[in-house]
Amino acid sequence: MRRAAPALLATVAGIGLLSQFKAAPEGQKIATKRVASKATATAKSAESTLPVTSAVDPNVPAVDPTAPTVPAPVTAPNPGAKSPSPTSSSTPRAGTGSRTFTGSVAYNEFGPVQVEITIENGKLVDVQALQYPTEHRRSARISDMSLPILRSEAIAAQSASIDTVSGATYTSASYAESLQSALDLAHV
Amino acid sequence: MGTVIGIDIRDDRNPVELDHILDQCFAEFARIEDVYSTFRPQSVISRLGCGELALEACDPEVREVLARCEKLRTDTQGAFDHRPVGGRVALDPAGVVKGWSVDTVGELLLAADIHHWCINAGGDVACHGGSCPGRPWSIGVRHPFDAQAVALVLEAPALCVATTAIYERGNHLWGNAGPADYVSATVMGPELWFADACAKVVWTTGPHGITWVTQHPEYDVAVMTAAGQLLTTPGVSSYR
Repeated sequence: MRRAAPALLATVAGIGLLSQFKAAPEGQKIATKRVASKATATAKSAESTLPVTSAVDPNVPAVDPTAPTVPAPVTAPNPGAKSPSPTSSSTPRAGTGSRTFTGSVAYNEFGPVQVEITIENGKLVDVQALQYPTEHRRSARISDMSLPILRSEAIAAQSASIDTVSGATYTSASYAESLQSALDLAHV
Repeated sequence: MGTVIGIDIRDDRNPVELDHILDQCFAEFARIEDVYSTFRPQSVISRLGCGELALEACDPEVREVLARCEKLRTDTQGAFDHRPVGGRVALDPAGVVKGWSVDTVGELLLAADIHHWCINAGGDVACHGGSCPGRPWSIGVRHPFDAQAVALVLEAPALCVATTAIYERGNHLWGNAGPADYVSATVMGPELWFADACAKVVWTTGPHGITWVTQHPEYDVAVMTAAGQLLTTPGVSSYR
């Protein structure tokens, strides 16, 4: 049994991490949880059918000239993107009943975070970060979009049935905050 | 290996037997660390690196691991390099060893007639079978902008998933940014050692790396750009 100890400890530690992921502390991640409850049923298997384009819209400037350059949202260039408050607009995209909603700007220690969501036929099909602070203030390029093998996918909604997570641990509430305000606007 | 390894077994076995099997698994991880750690001066790899030991004197397993490293280095034109010039040590196969150790322990589980398991080694995942009868494993890929969210959910009866990413942790950004405009790079496929190496190659070489990975038809890539766009190779949809 002595040799079992490190094995069990490591297993428990691993399971502890997973439990932590599944059950966010009360009060700390309310926005995230609300997103989860609202979006799970509709967005999980939704796939973006939007055309992939590599055009940059010059009409969507970064809000703060000291902030990293933000490319035009690939799915829907939206004049409301530079507004600091939540906005909504019908997209000019033909052939779909899609609408975009821009979340309010949420701030964290790195700078402003703002997301835009696209709702198609009542389903959340895309989330774009209009503003997000990056470490090296690299100008965001979208040249990768020209790689023909790649296609754009809808972001998964939070799922309660995940068994494990690939990635690492970190914390950010601002993204969820902006996302929630956009979802509230969309009445999803 | 400086990381937390969790093994989740769902086969219906008695607890004593499972304890014994888990013992064997973690003993194997410990053995691999003894042989391959670059932080232990007496490890085979440390002695090889400083010339104390000749490759010919090593057992076939060590030569096989180093042969994989060498092939990766050649195939990626040095994007993966286990002999980094100016590195902390002369010989550092850790980029292959971590994933390979999980693959090895996975084989150990199968040999012990355990067929429903999931191993998570510091965010790199290998799974087999299912979480319960009739249900495949469901693997979330952490959303780089939100620790409580996933960007992608992958479901498969057997799959390995490795992610390299830059995250926000406390007041710091964690991880090294690559030259490409990615905040997260995930590679999935049948073996974790290769998926992990591919994720690092995509991270450091961007679209070139993705093109290279797609030459291996069993492997697929999902990246998130700094603008929050999730981009995937077509095969990813078969896991959604």
